[in-house]
Amino acid sequence: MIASIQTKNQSITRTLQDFFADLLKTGAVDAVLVPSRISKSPYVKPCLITSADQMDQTVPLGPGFFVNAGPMVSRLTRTRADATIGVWLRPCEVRAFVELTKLRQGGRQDVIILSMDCPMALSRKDYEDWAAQGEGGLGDVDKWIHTVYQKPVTKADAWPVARACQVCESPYPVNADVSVMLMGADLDKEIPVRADTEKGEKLLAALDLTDNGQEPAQRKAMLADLTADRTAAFQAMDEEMLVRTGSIDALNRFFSACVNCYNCRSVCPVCYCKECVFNTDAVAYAPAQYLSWADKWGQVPMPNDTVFFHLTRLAHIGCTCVGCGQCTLACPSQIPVADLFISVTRNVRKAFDYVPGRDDAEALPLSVFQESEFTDIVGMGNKEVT
Amino acid sequence: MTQTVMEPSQASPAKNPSLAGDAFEPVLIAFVCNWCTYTAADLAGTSRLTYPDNVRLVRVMCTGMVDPQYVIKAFLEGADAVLVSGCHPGDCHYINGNYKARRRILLLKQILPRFGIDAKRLRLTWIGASDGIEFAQTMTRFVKDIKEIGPCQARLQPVI
Repeated sequence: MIASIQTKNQSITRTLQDFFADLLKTGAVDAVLVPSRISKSPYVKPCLITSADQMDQTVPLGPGFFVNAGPMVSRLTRTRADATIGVWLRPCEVRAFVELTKLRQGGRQDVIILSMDCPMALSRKDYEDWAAQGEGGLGDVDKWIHTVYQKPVTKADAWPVARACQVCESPYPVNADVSVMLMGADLDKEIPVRADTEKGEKLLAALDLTDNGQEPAQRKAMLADLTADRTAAFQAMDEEMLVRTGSIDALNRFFSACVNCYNCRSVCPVCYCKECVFNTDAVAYAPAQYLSWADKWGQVPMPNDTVFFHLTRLAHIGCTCVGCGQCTLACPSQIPVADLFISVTRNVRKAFDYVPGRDDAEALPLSVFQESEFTDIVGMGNKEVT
Repeated sequence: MTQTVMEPSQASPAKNPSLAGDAFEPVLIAFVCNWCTYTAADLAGTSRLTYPDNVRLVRVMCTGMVDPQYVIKAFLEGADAVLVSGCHPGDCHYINGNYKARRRILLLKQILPRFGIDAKRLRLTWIGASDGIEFAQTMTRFVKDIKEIGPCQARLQPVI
């Protein structure tokens, strides 16, 4: 079923705010999780809202993306809550949540996932500049929306979107209950909303929406163009990363500004360990060990294990990185962590024919095995043992 | 221990005899499972078979417990090669640890070459408890292969 929501006051933001308020008023959901401004600052965070009159500070679509809400939904569904929660997620947040459910860190029973063609994100610096130009401390959100969905941008226009977004190949909802199809829509008139599951159908029915809409005529073609652009952008980034990190020396230089703050780990939606090994005694070396390293090379940088940390993280999330770019956003040293992680993981997961977030039923590659598989990687190669 | 203070940029094969040409002596770390490959190593020893002393064995209870980070750490600390070796498929003492190891090695073989660590430096083999001869042969062969490839970059310079 595809319903059409009439645009109010020519404002998509206002229309969506009313849509979420209606979800609460009709009792279709008990709460909604939507990005909202904090104390009228330009920064937005996912907020769990239960009151229909709290919608005016929400920013459902905008270039601000400072928390991947996937783990927040995981928190809300860790145990049963005896309530239905509507969660408004970007496609990469849906992917993150789906990956977490596979790790049994959350479940879909109590949530209804509403997702959208992605409004993309700006880097922190660009976001602050963008926000400063608008009135009321927030940039012109509706202008942003119209730009993004009428003429899909990768790096065009005044504001280059974050690199992770420039190379994202799935900026549309996958695995959601309700998909809001904004790309190519006549947003001054209507927002087409599609129910993808039975839950989604029920939700739209509860709002008295009927099957009177249709997918925007240009949407598929626009998304295909966008995806093609981004595949090309990814290849360019991948090549750049091979040059910038293709050797131990290059890798040292790439991470030379890293101060081991582990922010990238904290914000990573799929860094799933309950206790990270880098917080344990396993890496609390004896003083003599440091001296021994210093003896070996003449010096040892402290803190050390920087590359070890990043490569371990790469191995741990090698198949599940959802490409949201939060690690780059969180890095105080402006290291393009996401560029490296997206490049490597998108190649790594090919070996397992795995795509994070694609399918709930698809098991995490490292959690399963088959008896006869990958036999070519076993042994000493083709030469006979002599 | 001899204290050789060496600037990273000077850490060249010429200054380190164990890294120069024919004299290159690689360091191999082998994670071997208690039930099969370690027992095979034991058998090789009691059978008085010889194999190069470049190999450092790390006994683990199962190849299924070899976290990718053990392998990563070994390489970053200067190992020229890493071998993970356990029971043949179907023989795992813990039923299926070796199958899990196989996927992890596949994962690492996708990641490590991105950073200049040749996939050939990481091997996974199945050597049963009675295969003392195969154990000695595998080690000899692996050391020979790595001597041909040469030292790993992380052996030549420190990793931050």
